[in-house]
Amino acid sequence: MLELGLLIIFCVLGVLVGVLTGLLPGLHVNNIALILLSLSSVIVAMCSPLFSYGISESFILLLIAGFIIAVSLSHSFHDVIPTTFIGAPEEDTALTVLPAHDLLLQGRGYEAISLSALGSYGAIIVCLLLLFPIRFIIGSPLFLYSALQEIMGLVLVAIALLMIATEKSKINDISDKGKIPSIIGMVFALFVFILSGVFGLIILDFPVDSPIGLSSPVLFPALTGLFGTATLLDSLRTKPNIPKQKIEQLTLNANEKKSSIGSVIAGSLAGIVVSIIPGITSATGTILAMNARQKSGHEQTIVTLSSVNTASAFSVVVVLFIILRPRSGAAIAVNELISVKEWTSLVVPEQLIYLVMFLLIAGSLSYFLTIKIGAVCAKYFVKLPYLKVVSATIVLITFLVFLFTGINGLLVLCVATSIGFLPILWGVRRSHCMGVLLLPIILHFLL
Amino acid sequence: MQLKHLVILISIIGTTFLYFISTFAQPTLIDISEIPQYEGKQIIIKGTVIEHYTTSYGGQIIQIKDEHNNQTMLFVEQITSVEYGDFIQATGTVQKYNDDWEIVVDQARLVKILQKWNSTHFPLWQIANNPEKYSGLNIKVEGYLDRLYETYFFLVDPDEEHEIFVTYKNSMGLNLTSGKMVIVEGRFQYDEHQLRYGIDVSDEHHSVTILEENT
Repeated sequence: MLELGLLIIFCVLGVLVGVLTGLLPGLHVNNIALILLSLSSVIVAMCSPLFSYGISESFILLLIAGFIIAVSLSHSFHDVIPTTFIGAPEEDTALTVLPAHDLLLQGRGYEAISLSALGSYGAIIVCLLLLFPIRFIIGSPLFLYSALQEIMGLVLVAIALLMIATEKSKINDISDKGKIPSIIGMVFALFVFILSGVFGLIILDFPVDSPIGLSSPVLFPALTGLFGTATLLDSLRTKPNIPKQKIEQLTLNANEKKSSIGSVIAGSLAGIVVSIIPGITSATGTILAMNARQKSGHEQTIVTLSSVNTASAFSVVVVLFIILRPRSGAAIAVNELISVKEWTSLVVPEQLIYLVMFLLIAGSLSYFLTIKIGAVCAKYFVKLPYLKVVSATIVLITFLVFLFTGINGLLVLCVATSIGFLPILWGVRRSHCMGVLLLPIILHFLL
Repeated sequence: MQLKHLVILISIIGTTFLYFISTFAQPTLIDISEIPQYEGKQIIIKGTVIEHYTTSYGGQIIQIKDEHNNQTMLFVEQITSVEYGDFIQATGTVQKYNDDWEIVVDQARLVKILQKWNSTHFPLWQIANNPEKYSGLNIKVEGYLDRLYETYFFLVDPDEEHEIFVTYKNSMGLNLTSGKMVIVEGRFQYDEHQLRYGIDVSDEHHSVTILEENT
């Protein structure tokens, strides 16, 4: 009974920490997990009085692992809030900025957050239902992990071609006759994709180093620049008028329900793929899912993307027990804290059962908290001086980039921001900047 | 110049600038003993392959050692063509896995074979002086065939001061005769049952090549 009580306490604490980190713009969940891992010995020392109640050190380590998982899951729910209201994304929510921010400008910021919470919670349910299928597909007897890797390159090439060929913007700078503006629009989309891709190839081996010894993910300044600071600086340039936000409970008609279920399933499957294949991130998973869905409405994009993020946060834990490889910061932390036992039979390992309990409790709590906090933000956000908030966010993000990746990270941020400005100024879709991930990954799989 | 044209120019110049910086700033080359100081960082490491096998998930585990016998494990996400005894260089990220340090290498191209095990050959005395250094590695040695049996023979040096036991598979179809000078390519390992070192000529990369007859 004491063990169950401790599990709930650690889970609630994890969710609350995840709320704080999720609301802080630009902070990636992997960094949070690794910071918490470095503090684990302090947490064990703080929990030492529990030894006298018969709680073993291995169980406390399991609780800390669960706490980190709860933080990462809660973070994956709440990070949509700064993404929507300020337009400040992190790596995983980069593509959400555009639709969520657009809904904010229509006074529907709260709806964007509700849709995101729905997508995230739906993903938890889908992942739970797929727990055993994942085990048998990825592990023995099917071992489809390798087969998935073989086709991934071709799938991504098809996605890239589809993204460019479906660019609808027209550029009239050279000629406005016939189909020339449309063709130039596509050529410019290709240019943005390739430039972002070349940028991605260069930064893959680009040495960045935290001045205070934190883990240094080079994708943090790159994606923040491409999708975050470019959008924020554009807000400063264009000074948008943020309307009063509607706070109404989310209601979906039959068609919207059907679409949302499809988006949750597609997003969850993409999130599972992200947790298995090395080198691809939630953003790439979203491109996979969006192309599979072929629904480009803002609402479905938000649902899909949130499903990808949360499904990925959920399934990295499960996948860790099947292939014994950590695929995220949280999974690395779990792997270091507990001695992971491979899931080889029908029986789910005891440690995994505890961690799945953490995921379910944290997911349910996070769903309600996201809705509540989203409503509070929607109510008071219009009263804040928007441009000052945006300026402060740019300063905060720049500071975080320096803290995690040093001077070289700031250089990457500047170039990424410049590339991120191209689609904004020329009117093509900003998702072409995902070439930063797609081109290196395509080359990784094909060469 | 309009802002939108200026941004194209800045983006291209910025990307080119990053490219030049990246060519001058490579990950640090470290010794195996320094690995714990580089947790989470990208590094370059060199060593000789003493063990390698593929995992059921399409990756490869490679164990390397340096000249001081410090060892570490590389986890490569793809399959490389390394063999026992190859001297390799790998670029990857340091991480801890079940209390052991390992280097995670994303792509096979990041594992470079600097020297193939069979690119040089050693005299028997050199191996006799420091057998632990070569234990578990593929080696290439020159010597004379002596005391030939169905599945093994002895390899001796010209002065007949050193000799080594060489096992081979009869199915390899080697046409061997005592007294011939040969180059043996095989895996040097300690035989626990015989309490002695020997060379095992057993896989498709191994061979016994006849050079000349002893006169």
